Amino acid sequence: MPRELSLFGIYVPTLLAAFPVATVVYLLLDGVLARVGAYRWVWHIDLFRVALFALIFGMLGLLCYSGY
Amino acid sequence: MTTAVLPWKQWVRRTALDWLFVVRTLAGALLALAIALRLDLSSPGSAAVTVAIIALPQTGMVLEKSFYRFLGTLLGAIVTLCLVAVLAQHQYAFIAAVAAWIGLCTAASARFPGFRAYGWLLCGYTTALVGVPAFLDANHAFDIAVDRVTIVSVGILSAGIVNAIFNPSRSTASLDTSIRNSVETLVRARDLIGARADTTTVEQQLQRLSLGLVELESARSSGVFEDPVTRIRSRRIRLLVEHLMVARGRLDVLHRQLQRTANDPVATLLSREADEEVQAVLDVYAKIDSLDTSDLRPVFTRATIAVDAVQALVAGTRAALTVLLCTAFWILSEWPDGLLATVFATVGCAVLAATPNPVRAAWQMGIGAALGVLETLVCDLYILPAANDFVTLALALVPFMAVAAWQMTRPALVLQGGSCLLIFLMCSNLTGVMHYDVVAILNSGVAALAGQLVAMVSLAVIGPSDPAWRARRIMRRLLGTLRLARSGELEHLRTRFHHEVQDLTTQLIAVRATNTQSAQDEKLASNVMEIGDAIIRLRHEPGSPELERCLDDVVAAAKAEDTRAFASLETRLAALREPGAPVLRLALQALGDPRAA
Repeated sequence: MPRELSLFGIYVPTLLAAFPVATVVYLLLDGVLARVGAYRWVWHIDLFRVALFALIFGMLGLLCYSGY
Repeated sequence: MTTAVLPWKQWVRRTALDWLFVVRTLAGALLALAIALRLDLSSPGSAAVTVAIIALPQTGMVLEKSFYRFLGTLLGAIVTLCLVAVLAQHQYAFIAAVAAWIGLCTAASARFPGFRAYGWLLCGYTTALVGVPAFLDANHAFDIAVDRVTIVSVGILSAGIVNAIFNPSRSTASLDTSIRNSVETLVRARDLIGARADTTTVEQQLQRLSLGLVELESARSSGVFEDPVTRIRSRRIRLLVEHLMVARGRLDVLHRQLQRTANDPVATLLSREADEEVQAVLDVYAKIDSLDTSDLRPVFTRATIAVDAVQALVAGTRAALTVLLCTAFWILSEWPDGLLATVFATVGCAVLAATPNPVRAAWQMGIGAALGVLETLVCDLYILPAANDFVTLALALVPFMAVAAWQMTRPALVLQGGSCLLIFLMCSNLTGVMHYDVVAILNSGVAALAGQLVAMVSLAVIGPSDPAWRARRIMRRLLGTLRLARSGELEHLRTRFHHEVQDLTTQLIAVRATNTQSAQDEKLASNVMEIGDAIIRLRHEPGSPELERCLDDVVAAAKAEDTRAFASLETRLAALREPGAPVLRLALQALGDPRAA
């Protein structure tokens, strides 16, 4: 994947676009986990959620920097 | 023995929580500072200022405030760009447009409850903060706007992450406690009324329930930001609050009826209704933890509107005029820090207007600002020059920030500490390459103080803002609810009516600083609630022309009264309740009471 995207003629880092994508994926996953009651089994919910987001965003980041 | 241990344990717990707050605020601010320095943003200190502004005791509150801060900044930046694009060549038109926009945002902020109001406020002053530099350098307007949004985002993310990980006090926990307390208070109030307990005990219990409901609502709106489980439960909790409000209102009406006459058909009917409503509360409460929302009916009531249109208009006009005056002085005197003073005056106006005692709050913020300038001078002149990397910079800042953050944990010193921390972080002018400029520090310090002074003066001079006036406005709306009872749409009318009366009553109590007045307010609210409740009941009965006319009379009486002294209303309302009074007589008739004849 390219490291920079052209957004209306301005080059922006792909990570900037990956951030909202990661946010959406995270919110969906978060909602599903909450609805099935998965958070009852988690000790530190906020830490878990921060880590979850870091994982998703990190994965997207690795995806766009792989192959270099 | 346990009684001796408990306070000690409580003290340790509270102290630990306070110090954790200090540590969190410091960690968040330093993290934001580090990131902003690394990204080479224009004013890294402002990222730390954001952290200081959103430093609150509970995670949910921090997230809620940051959410609205972000939205406000974003909208403000977009509006600024539009204004600069259209009016870049017209200095006076630009200033007028900024003043009008700030006035509009301040008026909007007065109409919204809680942190949403803060978002609107921020939307306004971002226009001043970004707009003026962008106007002066229109070619870089976009960069300036992006820089501001980035700075705020860095602050928000740092504060959010630090809070999520290191904050044991969650809004969700206090939400659960306050739900339990409210339901228990309701049940206790019912039992007390059933046992014919004395008036003060019952009224205390009912007032505790009112205050508990306010707490519950604010915990819910913060909790939603904290946790997806709370987000799912939110609708059920709002339903519970609706039922609790109606139940509280009915218990109030029942209690007043029982005080007058026990064991008549009206009392029996009221008692049955109250029991049904309490049962409805218990039914909702039984399933309060459920994540299944399929069985829920929609929520009828909207969130509170803090003030009426007149008050919002006054606040907006005041803000716009203050901006115009400040910018006029700034341009005429060519004061280099005029922008800062303008921003402080605008923010001060809106923040102070919402406090019960504006003059005292302004005084506290002024002391905080002075302390902040003093701290900045000491830190910048004697300590910061010795710092040569980020770790030493952090070490130099920590003691000064810690003192201010600790003040923020004391309820009496909250404004002072916040203002001190804000001024300190702003005036220290923390950038990658430090400039040590005493004159600049003093100038911005003086500008901040001058801005707050202008805010105080404009609050006193432009339009009414004192608590007594605000209380009168709320009372007017309280009486206006009778009109809702008289002519509102019948569907869910009782729920909406009780909700509004309840809301306005708690607002009235919040505005009143003294307790003697608030007892009278409670009485007025109870009167309105009782009469409105009777009106709604009568409207459900097949109506006669006489009844209709009588209901109109009641509403007209309340309406005519609201422009005059409120003391006389008390007697007027009391007269309406006399056994011979038409409303009660008709009410009794409608209920088939033989005494009505």
